Amino acid sequence: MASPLEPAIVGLGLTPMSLSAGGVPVDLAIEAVAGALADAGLAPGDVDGLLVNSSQGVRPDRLGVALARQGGLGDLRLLEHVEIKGATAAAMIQRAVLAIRAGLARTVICVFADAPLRAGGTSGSTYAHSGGNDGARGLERASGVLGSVPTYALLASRYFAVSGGDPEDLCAVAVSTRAWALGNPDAVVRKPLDAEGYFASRMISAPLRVLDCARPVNGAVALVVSGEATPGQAPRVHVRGMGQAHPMRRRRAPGESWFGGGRAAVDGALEMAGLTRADLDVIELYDPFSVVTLLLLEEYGLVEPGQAGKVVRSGATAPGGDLPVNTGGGQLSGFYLQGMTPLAEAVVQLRGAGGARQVPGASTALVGGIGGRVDHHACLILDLEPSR
Amino acid sequence: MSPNTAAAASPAAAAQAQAQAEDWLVDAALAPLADGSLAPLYAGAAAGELTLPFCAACGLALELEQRACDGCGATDIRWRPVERAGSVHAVTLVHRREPGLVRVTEPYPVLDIELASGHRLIMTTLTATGSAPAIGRPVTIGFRHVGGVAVPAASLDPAGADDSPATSGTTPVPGTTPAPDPSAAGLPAAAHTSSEPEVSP
Ligand SMILES: [Zn+2]
Repeated sequence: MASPLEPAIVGLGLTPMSLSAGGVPVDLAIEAVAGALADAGLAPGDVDGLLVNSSQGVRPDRLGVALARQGGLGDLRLLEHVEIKGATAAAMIQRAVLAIRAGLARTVICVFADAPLRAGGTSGSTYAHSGGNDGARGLERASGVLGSVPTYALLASRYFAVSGGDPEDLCAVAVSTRAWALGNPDAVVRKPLDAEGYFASRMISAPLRVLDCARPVNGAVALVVSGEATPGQAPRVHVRGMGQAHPMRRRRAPGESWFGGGRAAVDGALEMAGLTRADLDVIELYDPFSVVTLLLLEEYGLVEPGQAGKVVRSGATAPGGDLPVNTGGGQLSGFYLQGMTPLAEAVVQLRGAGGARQVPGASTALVGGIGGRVDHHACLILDLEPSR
Repeated sequence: MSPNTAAAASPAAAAQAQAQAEDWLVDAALAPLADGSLAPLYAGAAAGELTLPFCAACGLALELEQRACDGCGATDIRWRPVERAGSVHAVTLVHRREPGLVRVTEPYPVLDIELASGHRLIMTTLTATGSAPAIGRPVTIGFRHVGGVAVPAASLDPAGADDSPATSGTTPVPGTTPAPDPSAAGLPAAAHTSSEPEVSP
């Protein structure tokens, strides 16, 4: 029998976001799950679905479906590991909603945990040593492409060449995003930032400076999606629209290899929701690097082509602006927990729980998640109303 | 990794010496897997050729890890030498230098090169340089040796890569004069990458 209500996000749990080594993903995940269940007013026995988003790639202690047993859950009707890289978080919500609508489950937990910060090494070092020596990645690594920053720096270089723009635009993104972080107690970087401070920061791979890069943390986020009436106090956040796009850009002339093709995910989500871009109150984007915010604003049709830098420099995306973007400080200044970062912030805003960084009256949000080298896009349109 | 075997002719000794010299940029620990999925590229590189994949049925330039043609669906892939020339498609100067893996003490360039064949390959430069070339700048392709494996690298020298003609698609190996710089492997070549991700986003 199908659930009585339209599936909605009814629980949200975040661990503290730590900049110190320590914690293992499974423990962090269990803590976040407990928080999300308490938020929803539910007990473990009320859950019949679990979707797990591991941190792909380098970590031996990645989360798996064994989390259900380790976390004390009861019998489940839905248990899956979802994996489309950074776009996984939004994709898990999509999967949960569809499963509930189909009657395959009633109440589903979606969880992600990561602990890249380890004693004796930086996250940058962890990434630099990952990737192996076979295939295209092996050839790149032999050419000095270690970690993900150089590849996104190449993307930035190409984006500037095609769309215009320059480091002042990157600076504007970093400053705007930091301004939002000041109002978010969960953000790990809450020191005011101006252009002078930005340009004084260390260059990592030109044009990307350290302040253009996400802040990895050890932490976890869990959400509860349910089609049942739940006793939690927070308003239900409905998933009105969803879309994905996986453009097969080829690494050959004459097309662009580094970006393009993601807009269909947003177009599809808006069409499903029956909304337009003008209806969106807050925009929460996956921003592992400042250039990605600029790129996605254009690629998703939120600003005119070539205008992202100008729009951000105008202050429109910052607190008080008319196009609020990454209102919790994003991954740059908030915390980098992959797709959970924009998703969690959207839920906080629609609940009106944003405190000092609350966007007044926010009732609709776009969540944009990307994966790989902007190879995967998964989008959600969240809304306080189940229908309009 | 075991060193690739160089050509058999008289320059073989010189080529072998180059192959065994340390690379200017990275430690031998980053040597690519020469007999792995890109074996044709590395075998060609060892002989001074830039060898890349094409669809055997329709001739479309394919990505390094592509196994079926997106143009016609054929699964017959042919690797063949291409012209060792291209231009800068995207560029960065990498300032972060991972201890133990990167040998230089100054920032180094990483280039995305669009080759005359249409392929795009990521590579660094043939020799050390602290400046990043502009997008659109023409380059020729030579080879570095990392742990004995020849990998494509871009030459910014307007005269071409060392002794090799800038655009000789099928010229065999290094030629006459030994490259003046130990890191400047004989010739041309370049290589790149396809999409893949290990580190998140
Ligand atoms: Zn074909």
